[in-house]
Amino acid sequence: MSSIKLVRWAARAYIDFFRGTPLLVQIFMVYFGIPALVQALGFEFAFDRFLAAVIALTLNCAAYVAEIVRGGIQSIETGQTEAAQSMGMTAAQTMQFVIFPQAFRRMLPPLGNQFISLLKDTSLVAIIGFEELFREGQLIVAESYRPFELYAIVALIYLVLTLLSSQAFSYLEKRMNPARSRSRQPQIQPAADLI
Amino acid sequence: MMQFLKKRAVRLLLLSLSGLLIVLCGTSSAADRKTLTVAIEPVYAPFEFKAADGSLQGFDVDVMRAIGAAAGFQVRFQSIAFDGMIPALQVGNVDAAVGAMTITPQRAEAISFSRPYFKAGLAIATPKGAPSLATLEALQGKKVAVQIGTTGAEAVKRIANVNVRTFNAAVLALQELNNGNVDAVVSDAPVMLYAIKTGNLKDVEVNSALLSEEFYGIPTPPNSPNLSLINQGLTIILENGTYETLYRKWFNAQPPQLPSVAPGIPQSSQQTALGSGTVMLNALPSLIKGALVTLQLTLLSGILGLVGGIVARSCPFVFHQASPLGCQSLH
Repeated sequence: MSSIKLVRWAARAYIDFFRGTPLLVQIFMVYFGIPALVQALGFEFAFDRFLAAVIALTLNCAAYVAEIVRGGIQSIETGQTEAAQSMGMTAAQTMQFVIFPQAFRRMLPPLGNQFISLLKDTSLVAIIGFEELFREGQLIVAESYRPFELYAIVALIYLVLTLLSSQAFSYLEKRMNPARSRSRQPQIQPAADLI
Repeated sequence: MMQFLKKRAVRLLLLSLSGLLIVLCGTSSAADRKTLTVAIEPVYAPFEFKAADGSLQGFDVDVMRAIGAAAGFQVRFQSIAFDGMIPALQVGNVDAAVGAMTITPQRAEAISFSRPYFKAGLAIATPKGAPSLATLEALQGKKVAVQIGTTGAEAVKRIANVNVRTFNAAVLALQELNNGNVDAVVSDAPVMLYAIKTGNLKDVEVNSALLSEEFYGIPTPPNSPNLSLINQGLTIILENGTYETLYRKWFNAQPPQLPSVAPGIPQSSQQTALGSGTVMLNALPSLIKGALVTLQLTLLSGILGLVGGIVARSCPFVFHQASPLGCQSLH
């Protein structure tokens, strides 16, 4: 029981830290902090920027996803657990076959939100000189001194990307809705008649 | 009761009106002398940086204040990132800027520069003990860090086959070198020498050979009426010895002769600016490349984050046959 408490405490601390501090600070900590730390310990260490960016964004994103997962699982009524256990399922089976599949469907909208936030937050890794969309725009502005036009295009490209991903997520939500997919046939019929 | 409330309301109204009057008087008396808003990014010691107590200091700060005192205007500094200064000047958000900004033909097309106030040059910084790199050609095939929008960044672009990393500040580029992530930094010599002298970068040295001769100027919005005021003040402090005093204070040396006009810069800014459409079209390939990188970064971090998030939540569940949430009914 003490080991499970420790793991739970570690998970809590991790989530609190990465949700409670700015992503920008986390990126700096990963990219400039870790190499300095490792070198202070006497090792040769050079950080690939793509790797550093992925690590910082993943650590941050995972903390939010963990909270979304918790919310999703908690939203499933205890009656479901009780019913599964009365059928003789173990706790693991209950989670795997009864709770998680239902919870996942409820997690989809917040996960979609999180994905869109992540897409926009990637612009923050420009600070470590990683050349993603925003940085490319910044570099061109630094030469051509045309901030309005260039940042407008950058914004437009981000908008296209976020709109496409929200479309993808709503398609996924529809596909994963068992009620919707069963009743699709009769719903489409009258619509076709109208045309 | 109503009477009392009414009296209070009237008194309150009078009080706030007089307060407003005081505020208005205060601002109008301060506006007697002209105040210029000057953009500055205080991360470029010894030209501009913040002292331990948070006050602005540096050679540029002293020069700008001396110009203001000589030409009769007040200076109000406003913090703006170096690569944002020219856009801010173009739209007139600020009246001038100081930032150890080299006068280049390209910049002179977008904004107007004062007469030169400092002579500088680019140099190459390398890790201590590494083979010395004296020329730009020696940087071929190397990893080089620069600051965005600087003449150093412009210079390394001319080298064939070089891996450039662009940072928002010179100190970050030098930190990258100190961390061993790049082979060299190309930047202004005085700034790198100062950073090493103040001891923040122990493992870095600067090659003494200067790559170029550059002149710093004070940029203003295109054809700004304040430009002549700034030039006038600059000429006064150059002639009356104030400039020399400041130069000795910060660089501990005799100031070099400054030309009244930066060499190689066309005097009147002829508008050879490209149309918006051309600028946008030229930018599109790099932007689309950047968008693909962004998408790749998002997908990778998103998938790893999803897995990580689920694992972080179900760790207790794996270790123990219990609910990951401490749901009592599962115990």
